[in-house]
Amino acid sequence: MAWIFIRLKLRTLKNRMGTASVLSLLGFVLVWMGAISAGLLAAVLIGAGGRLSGEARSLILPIVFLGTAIVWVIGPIIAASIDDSLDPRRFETLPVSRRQLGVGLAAAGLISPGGLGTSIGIIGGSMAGFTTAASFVPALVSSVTQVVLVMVTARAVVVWLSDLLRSRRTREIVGVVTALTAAIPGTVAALINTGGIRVDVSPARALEWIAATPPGALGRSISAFADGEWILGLGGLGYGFAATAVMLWIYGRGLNRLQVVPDAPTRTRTVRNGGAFRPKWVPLPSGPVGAIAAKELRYLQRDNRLRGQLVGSLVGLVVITTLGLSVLRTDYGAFLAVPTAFFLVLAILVNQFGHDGGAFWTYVTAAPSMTEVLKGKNLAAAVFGVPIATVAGVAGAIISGTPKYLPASLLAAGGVMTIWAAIGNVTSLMGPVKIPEGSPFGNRGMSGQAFVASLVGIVGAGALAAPAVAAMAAAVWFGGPVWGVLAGLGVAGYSLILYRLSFRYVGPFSERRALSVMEVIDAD
Amino acid sequence: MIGQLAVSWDNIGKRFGQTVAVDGVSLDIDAGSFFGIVGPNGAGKTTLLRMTTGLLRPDTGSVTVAGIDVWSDPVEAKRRFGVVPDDPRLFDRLTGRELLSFLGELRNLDPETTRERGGALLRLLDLNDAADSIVADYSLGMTKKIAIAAALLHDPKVVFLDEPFAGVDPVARQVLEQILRRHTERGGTVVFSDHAMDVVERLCDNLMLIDHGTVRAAGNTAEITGGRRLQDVFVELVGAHVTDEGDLRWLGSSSD
Repeated sequence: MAWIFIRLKLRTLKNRMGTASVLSLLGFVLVWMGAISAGLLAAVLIGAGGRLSGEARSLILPIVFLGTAIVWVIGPIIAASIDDSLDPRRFETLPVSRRQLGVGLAAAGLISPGGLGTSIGIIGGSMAGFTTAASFVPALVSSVTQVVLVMVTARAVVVWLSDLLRSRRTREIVGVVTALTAAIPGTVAALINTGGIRVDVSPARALEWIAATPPGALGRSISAFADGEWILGLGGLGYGFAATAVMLWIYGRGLNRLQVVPDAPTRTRTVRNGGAFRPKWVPLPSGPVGAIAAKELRYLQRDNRLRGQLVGSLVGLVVITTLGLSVLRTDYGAFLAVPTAFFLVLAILVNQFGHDGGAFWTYVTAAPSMTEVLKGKNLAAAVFGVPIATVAGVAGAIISGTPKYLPASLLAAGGVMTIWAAIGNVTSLMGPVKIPEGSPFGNRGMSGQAFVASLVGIVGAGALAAPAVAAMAAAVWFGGPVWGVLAGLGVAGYSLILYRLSFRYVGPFSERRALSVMEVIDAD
Repeated sequence: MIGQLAVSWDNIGKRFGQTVAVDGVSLDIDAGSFFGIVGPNGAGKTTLLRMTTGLLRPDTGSVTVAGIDVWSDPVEAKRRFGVVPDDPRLFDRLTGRELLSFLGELRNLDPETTRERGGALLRLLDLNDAADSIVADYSLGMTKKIAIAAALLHDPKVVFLDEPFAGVDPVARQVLEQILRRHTERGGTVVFSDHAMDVVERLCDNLMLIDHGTVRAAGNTAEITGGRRLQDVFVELVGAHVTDEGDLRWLGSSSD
């Protein structure tokens, strides 16, 4: 039965490639090559760890196995989706048992960039660095079990949390929690460095803790087999087997529940006047640009995908940066405005049509032109981003105790936003990425073309912003606040030129390109 | 408007790989018509409408709406038509009222006109109570109605609707029919596709029957039907697929 699902997955991939454009095909190949390369790199690093001696060696596989499991479990929750082009609900009318469905979908999940990369890294690394001739077979069984365990666990979590993952409120909470969690390593590291906390855990103790988890036990079993500790190895393998069986059972139950429990009915929501990230006293121009900006600002308030993304990036940014500033005690705190602007508009501007989804046809049939649409979206980003970047700059200035770099930092923040808008206008048209909502299943991941466009966008924005950042840094470092303002004016002018050039570039082909954008973000 | 052309297709065609979706259709629709496009599944109806409304670029030919070439002057053409696709997905985080206001501004209508027309359409389409609820919470029928209101808001010369009555309850259907009839009585043109032969026969003064991307019959509805039911004419022209009884001998054998 698993083979049927694998064949189905391979067939869907083949069909996708058969209808893909050259750019999409290139991106597709790059994504898979990237996953294979990452897997090989991980295998080499893990394998190299096998050459270590003493307690450190015994910790490597348990830590790697547990880390992989955590990433696989948390990843789909953060993304509210899983790269699984086979949606379990499509099988609900077929006479397939939940065990067959669970095994089949988990097996098909291996045929994905993440699944393949993980398999290569885990199995390859374990085999390369931690086996002997005698332990080869049991070590192989342990590493394969680990791959199956993480795949099944990730899917079980998504299935059981599917209702929650679809809820708007949960997506926002996940955004905040993720941001705060991301700040924990930095906080802990800073506290350790400054002597705020002391860490006194021996490797042997850490190994005991980690090996108490099924992935950790599987990792330790491989080392144990190699060291001839067969009872310890078999115990770990048995523990891993049992955990995998339990997760498979939980996954199957979850699939069954998913198929028989209907979606919760939606509650009618009445929206009173406003409901947008815009104070009423902020005027917007009348006409299409203002209308689109107003609509985008309403969406920032009402679209959980955008809100979660923004809240998450903002909270993480503020926590990490204020922590950094408090530790460093620098005069340059006002420049907090610059990374704030960078992250805020990165979230909004790089993929400006992704959230429009199936409604994009409205722009094609009703908007005067796509450049007007882009201007409206850019304006919304500015109305939203400028005040937040300003607040961040002021907060940074207060933390560092001097406002002398505030004007320069605000000019630089405006410049960064404008450069991102220029790049974002091109990437939004060239490589739109559909942002799915609702179901956490059936997500086909980023298209190849979108991957290429994102790559080009990030590299392009970095290359275009680099001279401005360098000029600003040099002016502030060598000249002080006044030179900083002059450099800031230069950055603002430079960014405006880039912005105008972006419209000169996208203008001629944006109407034709609009139909391709619609095809991508409207696809089921 | 009588005597002017609302829509003119000139050898318009589209292929998807080896499949010919629309095969060089040439036809004119007079202004003021209530024009129906009928055909079996996959006949090319939606493809033809999408090419006509700027949502799909044709491989061959051209199309003009109210005298404007849709593909060489899309901005001007968009001012003259409104469209409701078969699956009208809208900006559903807006309320019904906000959606109409947004589209009015997008089409450069002044706010007062938008408010006035939007209010009237919401009232007529029985959406007043839901006007301040977000569109995501609307039923299918309500979504169709707000999409139709959005298509009519700028008082277009031609309205294109792809299966507008699918999923709409009989009362709402009656209201929609009345609104569309009023539009044609005042010189506007309605072009719509539908599978429901009785609806097409009742509403349309002119129609086109399309199959495999080719026009099989076009013209005045009464002349095409010749006193028979449109359903019978349709089946006769398209050809019913008769199954060999032997092919399905196995069907029902498991119920013994």
